[in-house]
Amino acid sequence: MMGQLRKILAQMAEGFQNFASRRIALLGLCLILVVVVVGVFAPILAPYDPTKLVSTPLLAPSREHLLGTDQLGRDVFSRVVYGARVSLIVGISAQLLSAVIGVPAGLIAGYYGGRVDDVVMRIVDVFMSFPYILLALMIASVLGPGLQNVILALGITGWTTMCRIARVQALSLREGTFVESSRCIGASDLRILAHHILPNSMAPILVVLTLGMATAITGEASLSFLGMGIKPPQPSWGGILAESRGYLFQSTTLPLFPGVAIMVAVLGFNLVGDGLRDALDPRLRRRAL
Amino acid sequence: MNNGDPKESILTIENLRTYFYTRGAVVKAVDGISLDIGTSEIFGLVGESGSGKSVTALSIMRLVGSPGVIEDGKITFKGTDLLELSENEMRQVRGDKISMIFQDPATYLNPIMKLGRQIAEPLTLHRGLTRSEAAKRVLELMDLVGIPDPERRINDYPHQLSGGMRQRVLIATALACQPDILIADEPTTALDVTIQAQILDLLRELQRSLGSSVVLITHDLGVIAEMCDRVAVMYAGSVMEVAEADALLTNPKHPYTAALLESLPRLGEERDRLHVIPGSVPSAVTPPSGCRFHPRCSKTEDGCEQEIPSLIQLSDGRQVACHRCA
Amino acid sequence: MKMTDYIVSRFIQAIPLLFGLTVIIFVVLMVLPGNPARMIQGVHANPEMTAYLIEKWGLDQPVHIRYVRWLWGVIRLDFGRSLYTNRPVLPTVMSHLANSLVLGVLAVVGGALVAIPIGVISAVKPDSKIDGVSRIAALFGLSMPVFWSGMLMQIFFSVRLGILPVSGMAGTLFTIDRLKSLILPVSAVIIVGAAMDARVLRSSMMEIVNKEFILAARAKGLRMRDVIKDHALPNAILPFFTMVGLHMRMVLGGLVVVESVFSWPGIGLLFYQSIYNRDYPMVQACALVIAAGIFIVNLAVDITYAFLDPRIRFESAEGR
Repeated sequence: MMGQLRKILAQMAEGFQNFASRRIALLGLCLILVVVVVGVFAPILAPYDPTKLVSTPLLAPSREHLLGTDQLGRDVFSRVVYGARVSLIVGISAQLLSAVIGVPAGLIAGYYGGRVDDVVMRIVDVFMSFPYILLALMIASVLGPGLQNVILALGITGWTTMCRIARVQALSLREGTFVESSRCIGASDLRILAHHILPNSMAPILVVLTLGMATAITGEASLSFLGMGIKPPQPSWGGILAESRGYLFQSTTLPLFPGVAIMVAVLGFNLVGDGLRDALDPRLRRRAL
Repeated sequence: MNNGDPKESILTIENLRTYFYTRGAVVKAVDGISLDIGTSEIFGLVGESGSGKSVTALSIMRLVGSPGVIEDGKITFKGTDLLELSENEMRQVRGDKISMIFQDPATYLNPIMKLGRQIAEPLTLHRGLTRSEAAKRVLELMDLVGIPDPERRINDYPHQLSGGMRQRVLIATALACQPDILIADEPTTALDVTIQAQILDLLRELQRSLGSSVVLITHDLGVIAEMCDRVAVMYAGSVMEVAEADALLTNPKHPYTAALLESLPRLGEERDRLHVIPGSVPSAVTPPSGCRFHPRCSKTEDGCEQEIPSLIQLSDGRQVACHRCA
Repeated sequence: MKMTDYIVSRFIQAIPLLFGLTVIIFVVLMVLPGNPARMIQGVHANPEMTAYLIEKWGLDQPVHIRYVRWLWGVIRLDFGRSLYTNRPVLPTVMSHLANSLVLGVLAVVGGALVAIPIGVISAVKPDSKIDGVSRIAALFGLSMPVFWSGMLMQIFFSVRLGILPVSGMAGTLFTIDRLKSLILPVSAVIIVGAAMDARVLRSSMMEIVNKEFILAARAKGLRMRDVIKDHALPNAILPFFTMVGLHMRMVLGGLVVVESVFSWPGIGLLFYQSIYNRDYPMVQACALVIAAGIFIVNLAVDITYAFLDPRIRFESAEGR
């Protein structure tokens, strides 16, 4: 098992080297880092308390208020900065939750096949027969607005993609010789799943995980936009955009910058996810004719 | 270059160099080869994988994909240097004067296009035939290559045919415009042994009736023995020996050719182990100095390591690239 | 004959799925806090009125009875009346569905049309300037949240230029007004859709262009243009086509954010508003219609794909 792990780590190291050589993926990483830094250091970076009214409403950008003020008189820049925290926390947590639910389900379904697989896939089908956002909306309606509830809602809706990818991996790996030899030694299924199948599936799972975070961030923004997400007055990028709707004529920064922020974050995760996929897929290495 | 053979040359390759510029290294796939293909002859090009045979074929057709570049050389076809032609002019040669069939008919046919249309393409393109005129000709061609029930098959798709039939389709396509040269790159390697024999018979028959030249690329010496008039042996991007097939197989002059023949298992022979040529195929990035084969050759002398032997003409019309035969 | 068998079996498979979904929705509505009887009265709710409404709407019945009652109604195509407006549910749902479909189909088709030339150029000339630019544009396009691109359109075309309406669905079908109110929402969705389509098509084309039969086609002397048109593109379109099917799935209901931004009376928005209003019959009807719509779209895509790909349409020969 240690040997297995070492081999996989070596493969991943090579993959990451490959990744690092792609500039565009590095750019994505930078974008994510920017968002993370902003989010983590929000209290330091934000000049004002994002929930307090500090000035006249709907001021244009100035030196005191880099992005102006919103319709209640709060500093937009501070709100956007604090919004980064929310988006990151939700994006990462929700996707991890989806992974925690989906990956084991998928691995088990793919590994055992048969009835178990049928049951799991049926459940996946039910979830996938309904649009992602509407499902999340429904769950959020039941739970009510709030950070934790948004994470729950998005996490529960997003498990199907993780499940599918894990299942595909398990299906193709369970015929492998190392699985056979482990069984001969008498290893239990759980052991095989944990020590062989899971580590070898990590690459595509990681890719889907990263891309899923982008979806989760957009999902949170959408939910907040529709009023079912983060509870005001806590700032969220989607929420600020929703608030700006009544003031399109009066303010340019309000509807613009939270959207830019969302795009930057989503772009970052997309680029990294793409880069990971290209780097870790052995078939995509350049071929000399 | 004239090898003294009374046949005319239809294609002359002079000092062809095709290199691949990959990230980090230059692969010298074809490094200075010269060949003469005669009219109406079946010319074999034999060698191990990596010897540069396929790249030579692609170079003739000027279909070498990036990162490959034809660095140097001259390919004279009926008086014109193919390497000097514009892409448009070359396109008119392809499929019409020189055509090519490939190794695995399953992947070399468009899976979602009807067979009839695929065979008709060179006809509509080079001969300006209409769809219906071409269709007639296609039926003739399918008959010619031995595809049963052509009226039905013409509307079929590749996956509905067996491997042997698919290869016949490729052959029909290649012969549609009655080319002067047909290049066949390992045409039977992907087929069952019994089908192989059928396809080879077909090729021979067609060559005889059409009078085209065939460049038959293979790694199988048995195919060479059966089919070819003359043969060139390639190794590591260079030509080692060129001779008439019979002469080559019974009396090889180049140590590499001799070693190859030695490696063939023979009926009735008593042996514990198969004879192998020691060592392995050299890197195309850093080929050995001097004669490419010298590290594995059992008969080296001084000078084999220093100088690359050029292809010398022997009295019986053969060509050999070996210092010992100078 | 096989095709009808296939369709029938798909329908049979779908029934338990839809059944399961409606049960889930029902359960969710049970769990949803809030009482429509009280909500509809607003601030001046009084207990007698509330009790009356609850009894009138049958909300006091046990859960399984309510579900069975509802299911029975559905089979007879009676979806009940909206608790909110007291109007029959089905016509409202259907008209909203139609609105969503108009928006969605235009957006999907438009996205595909935009994506094809981009994807083809990118694949034929990889690493060229055009390819680089379009790849970056595609990345931006699909990273933009749809509602934001919608808002940007609103700001630019309505607020700044004033040439297109900010929101709402104006006029009747096939009028200029309707057309004008369609442009912005459709464009917003096309941006995202085309970006995704272009990426898929590009990678699909790049994979095909390296395939062996392309080399064979060139060996016949075909122009690159014809090789792309007759050989590469038809093969690349197939997987691309299933992506378009995926989009249609997003269209039905997934457009709720766009509908919200533009106040477009679509089914996604109806669904959301009904949840907000605790208008149970409306929610259930919307859910069923959306799920059924997705099923039908998926089936249509699969059938069309099977029809387009001759490898599926015709049996293959034995072995090789």
